[in-house]
Amino acid sequence: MPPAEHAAADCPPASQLERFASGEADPSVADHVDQCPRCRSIIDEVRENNRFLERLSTDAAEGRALFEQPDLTVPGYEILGEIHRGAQGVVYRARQERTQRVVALKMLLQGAWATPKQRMRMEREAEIAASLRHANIVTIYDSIALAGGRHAIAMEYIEGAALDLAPWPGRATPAPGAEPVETRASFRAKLAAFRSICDAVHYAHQRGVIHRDLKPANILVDAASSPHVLDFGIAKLRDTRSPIPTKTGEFAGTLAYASPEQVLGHPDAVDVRSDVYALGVILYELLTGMHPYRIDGPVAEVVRNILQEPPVKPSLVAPLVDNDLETILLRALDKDKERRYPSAESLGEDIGRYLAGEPIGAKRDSAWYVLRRLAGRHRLGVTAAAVVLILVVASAVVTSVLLARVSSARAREAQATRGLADALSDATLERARLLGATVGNVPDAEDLAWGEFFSTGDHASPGETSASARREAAAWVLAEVYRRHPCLATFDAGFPVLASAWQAEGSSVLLVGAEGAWTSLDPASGTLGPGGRLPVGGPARVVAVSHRGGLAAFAVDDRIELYELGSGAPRAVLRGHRGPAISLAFSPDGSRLASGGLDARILLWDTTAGTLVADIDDPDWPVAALTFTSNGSRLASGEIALDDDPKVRLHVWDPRRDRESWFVSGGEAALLAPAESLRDLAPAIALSRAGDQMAAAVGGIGMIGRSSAGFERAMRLHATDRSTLAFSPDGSALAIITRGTGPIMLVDPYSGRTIRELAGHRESPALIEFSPDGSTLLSAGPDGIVKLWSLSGFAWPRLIPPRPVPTTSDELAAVRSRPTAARAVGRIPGGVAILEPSVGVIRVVAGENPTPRDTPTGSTGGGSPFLAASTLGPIATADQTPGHIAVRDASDGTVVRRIPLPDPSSWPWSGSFSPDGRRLACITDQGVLTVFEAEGASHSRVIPGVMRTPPAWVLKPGEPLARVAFIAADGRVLLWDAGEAEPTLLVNADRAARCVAAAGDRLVVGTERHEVVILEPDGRQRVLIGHGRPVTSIAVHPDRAWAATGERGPIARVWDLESGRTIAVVPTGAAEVFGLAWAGGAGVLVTAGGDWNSWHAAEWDVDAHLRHVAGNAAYQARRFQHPGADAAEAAAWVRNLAETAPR
Amino acid sequence: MSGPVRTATTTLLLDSLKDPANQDVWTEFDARYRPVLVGFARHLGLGPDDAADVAQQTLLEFVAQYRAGRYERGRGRLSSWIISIARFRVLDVMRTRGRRHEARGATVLGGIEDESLSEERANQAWEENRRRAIISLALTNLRERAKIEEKHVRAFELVALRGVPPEEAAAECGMTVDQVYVAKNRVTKRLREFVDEMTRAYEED
Repeated sequence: MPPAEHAAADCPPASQLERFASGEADPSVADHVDQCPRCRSIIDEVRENNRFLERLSTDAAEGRALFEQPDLTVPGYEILGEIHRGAQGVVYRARQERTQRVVALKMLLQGAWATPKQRMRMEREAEIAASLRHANIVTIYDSIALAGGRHAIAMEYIEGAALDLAPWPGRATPAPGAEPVETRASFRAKLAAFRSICDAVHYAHQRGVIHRDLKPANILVDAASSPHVLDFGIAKLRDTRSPIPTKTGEFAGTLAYASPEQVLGHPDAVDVRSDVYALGVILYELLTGMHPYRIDGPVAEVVRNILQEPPVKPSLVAPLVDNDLETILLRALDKDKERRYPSAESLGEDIGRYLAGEPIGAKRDSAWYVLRRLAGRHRLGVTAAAVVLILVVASAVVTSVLLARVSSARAREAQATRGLADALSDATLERARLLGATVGNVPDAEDLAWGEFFSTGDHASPGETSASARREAAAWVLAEVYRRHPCLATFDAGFPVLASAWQAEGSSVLLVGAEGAWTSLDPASGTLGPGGRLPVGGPARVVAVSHRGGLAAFAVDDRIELYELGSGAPRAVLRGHRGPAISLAFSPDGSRLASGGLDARILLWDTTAGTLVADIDDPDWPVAALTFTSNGSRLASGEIALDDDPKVRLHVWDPRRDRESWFVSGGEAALLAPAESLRDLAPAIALSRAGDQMAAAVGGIGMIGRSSAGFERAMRLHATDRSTLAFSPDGSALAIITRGTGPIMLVDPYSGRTIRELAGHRESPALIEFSPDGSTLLSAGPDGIVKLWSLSGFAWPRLIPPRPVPTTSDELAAVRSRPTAARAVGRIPGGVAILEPSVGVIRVVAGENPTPRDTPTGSTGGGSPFLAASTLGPIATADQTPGHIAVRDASDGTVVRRIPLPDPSSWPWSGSFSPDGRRLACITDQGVLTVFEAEGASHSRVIPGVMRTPPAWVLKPGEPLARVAFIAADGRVLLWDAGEAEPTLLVNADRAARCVAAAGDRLVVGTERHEVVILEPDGRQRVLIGHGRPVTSIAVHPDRAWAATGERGPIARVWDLESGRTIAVVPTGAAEVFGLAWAGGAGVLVTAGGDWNSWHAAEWDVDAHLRHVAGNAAYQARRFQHPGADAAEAAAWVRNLAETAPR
Repeated sequence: MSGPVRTATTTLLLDSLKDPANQDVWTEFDARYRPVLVGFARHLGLGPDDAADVAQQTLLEFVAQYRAGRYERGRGRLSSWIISIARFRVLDVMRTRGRRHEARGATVLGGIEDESLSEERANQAWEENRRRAIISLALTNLRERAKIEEKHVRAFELVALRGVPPEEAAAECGMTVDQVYVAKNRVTKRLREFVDEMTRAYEED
């Protein structure tokens, strides 16, 4: 009964029923409703209506404004007009009713359109910027929370123009409408305004706010030419540990004004000097009207320019820029933040000095610095071009390494030449590492690193680092490059490769070119051959090779020539198409050949008899692509009509059926793409093994879908050029090459997400093919370059899984209440022990044994990460109760004995066994160091005030007893003989030591200041720079040549202790590295890490990486054609390196 | 076809659309999808002009392709097809705009495809705007077809949509508070019916 009909005299009025329906209990109404079915039905309806309206209003509140334009009312403000509509929000001009002042009101487009991240940014903007009061910073008045989570910010309204569009006083306009001409007056006005901007930015810096998105559009200039900085939306508060809205690796900011450290995506590396850089770019642009480098290309190119491209000398572009001003600009724009102005203030001050005609503070590069640049040109013949690049770059991430080394070289004048050569070699290699591993420019990285690899033979003058050491350094850099882009091997087939086929068992690949050239490739040995040339009667339009039977088919004119590759004998000449065949495909067993022609027919041939088996004449258009599923059950065709209205259609056929039924496809998929992009294009198609998935690329658009359901996913490929596609045998990956755009992409066909990029081809390959087992991908191109990529068994690092959830209820409870964490690792006989203190389990892993073995220990009290391991047998851990150490049998974890601690209330927290295994140095949670006889019979006196990081045993040659190196709570490194004597000072507190390890009588110290310090027996200290965070753990390789260091971050580094070079940068994937250990018997580094609550253990396998270097050595040697570049020798050298690498 | 009825089934619409002379069906089709497309493009961050262009191009492209026989029902949802066209048009605009903005140094947040225009996001935008279009059509129908007294619709708008207290609404419309409640419920019910009707028509997509 509708409410309108409600009229009964004794029923309550509508308003009462309405209130009752919304829950207001009126006893008299309730009584009536109980009795009155009519009113009950009205109430039901009212409730239903209200629910409906509620949904509407909820939607509306969330911003899905349903009825009209988004509601623009902001309480307390009158909207006067729109000022700007940007990616993050709309800015209105509005009047604040309370004060009647005109303000700028910034709001997100609509609540529902704002992601939580956008909202968070917005709120942070208010929070941060509201605290800033400066004449040149736009003041925030108010932050208004609106319905549905929307947010508006009222800020000072500045009538003016963006910095780059401001009308500067003093500019001359030669003619009406002409571009204004810069005069000295306008130039100075700009500099004065810029000075104010520096002041404002410095003011914010002093309050812990880094702007991070400084750009002309964020600086308004008012009528008095006074600048106002706005938009602190993505500012990052310094020195807070609050979650930062910008994830690692995600770039938030404006590319054009981003500093190198910003584009590298390390939020932690961004500091006030990033703003100084942006200010430099802004000033450069303000004065010259140009950007310091090109920013109008593809993003990757812009990033490269930011990282590498030196600014165009401003004086060349703007005549008013003199020597001093140029110095200021170049200093602000230094790629290396260490060389930039340290603050916006110092930049502003120099501008002030310049305006006042005083000498500026910035200095040109020193003569020495320039000399070093020049010297490089004469040293590296092979990589001359590369060196020029390094010289101008000498920057980015690596410069700190370079400079540290260079400055020590300067100190040792006698060794200056050697230092120079080494520094340049290092710079080349670090640049290669940066290019290959970070930027993904593998070809250039290979040029640099292989150049170093092969150039060393010439230059090894006395005093220089030995050729072999340099070669080794290059090999490790290459290992890292190939880790990211796992190219197993590269070959030069010597002819443009048009077709390839993995032979069924995967033992070899056949490669064929257009004019009959062919070769076979043995992926196992990495060798080419045998091969030859078939007597093909002319250049073939298309070529195909069979996966079985060694057949090759060539479409020449209107015939198809079929050959046996082994003997080179012609098998048959197939004629049937009216006109040329333009696509070919062998069935997987090689018994059939399908050919597609310009005549819009698909012919199916018997390859043994050379006879026509079937004629599929259904396609209406020329058949430009054909492919079989790998089980042969389906044949897909891509047809293209190149008339006035070019179009593409795809079919899937069932070739096993009778001829008549072929028109009936198992599933037909039609694909239509925008017509204009199809000219001269043939589609690329790929079918999964079972034929249930199809991928197609047409006109720059890639599509993935099930043939029966049409295309479900579309993605934009990078160019409107022809692409190549291949499904992995298990259908889990789709490989895509879009010609002309670089890397091969492996895409998850279900989500469309990129799994991996494989960069390395200089010229885009034209074909890609998975090996039958899917472990390897082959790519080959028109330049004849063939590459094999390893796709499986190459995770780096390999993660060691946490132990399975325990089954007993007690343990289960422990797991639930405290997440497992890998907290400590130690080397034991035959492997590595990883301690999981919260549940008390030691996982034992070994390089050769991928299955971990678990030893329950019972939870170690207080979560103590104490694990002292010894290759001689025992493991020591904390026990379930405080006051003693549990010494366990490494094989089964049983407690052999308990060693009481002097303080029965303390927990053992870290420790290590002496080299002879007879003594155990232990530091308690109270920071007390004690040395015990491992048998537990006696102990030394105690040393309090010790940092709780593991102590190290140092054994000097000729000394009978090892001594203990440890770190005092104040960061000093001390050495103690565990006797009555006081410890002696090794390293003073300035270094802020954090961890220590011994490599024989050499000590390796990690510091809070991100350094690794090598303390030589003669007291000399060498500082290795590379970590970007405090160094928290060290593991010296058993052969003492290498040390691995972990940091309070995800990175572990492996160093060569002799040369101080980086062997590898290991991304462990953990939030923080807690401990490291070298696995016995193999070159495997195991890291334990996480975020205190999560398990994370990983392995880094030396051999797996050098294998890729070895696979590429021969090809690169031939390419360099260097006297020292003997292909076989190079490959053997790398293999030897792998064999002799420390283990 | 008069008035914004828009309840013809999609199949019927599509069949009739093959006839280029049938202007009515085009109007109907246009009225059904243009608002969704404009909202869709606006939702994805385009300005009003660009959004209008995207809607126009998408509709033309769809109809041209449809008439050329390149879309067949049974191969996929109509909306998926339209979304896929519209998505690329939006991307094109974003690219052009991105280039313009980058040159001036506007903020770039992530890649266009990754952050702003995932398929999921496009579908979500479509759904939301379809819903919006349905409600908006239902409201139009309410005014034009429902034969409800104007002041009752007004009372409904004030109370149900704008949250005006019934007393105020009553005063404004010259009704008693009880009449306002009766009007609110009557109009709401009619609106619900329209929304259901529209939803069924669209859901065939």
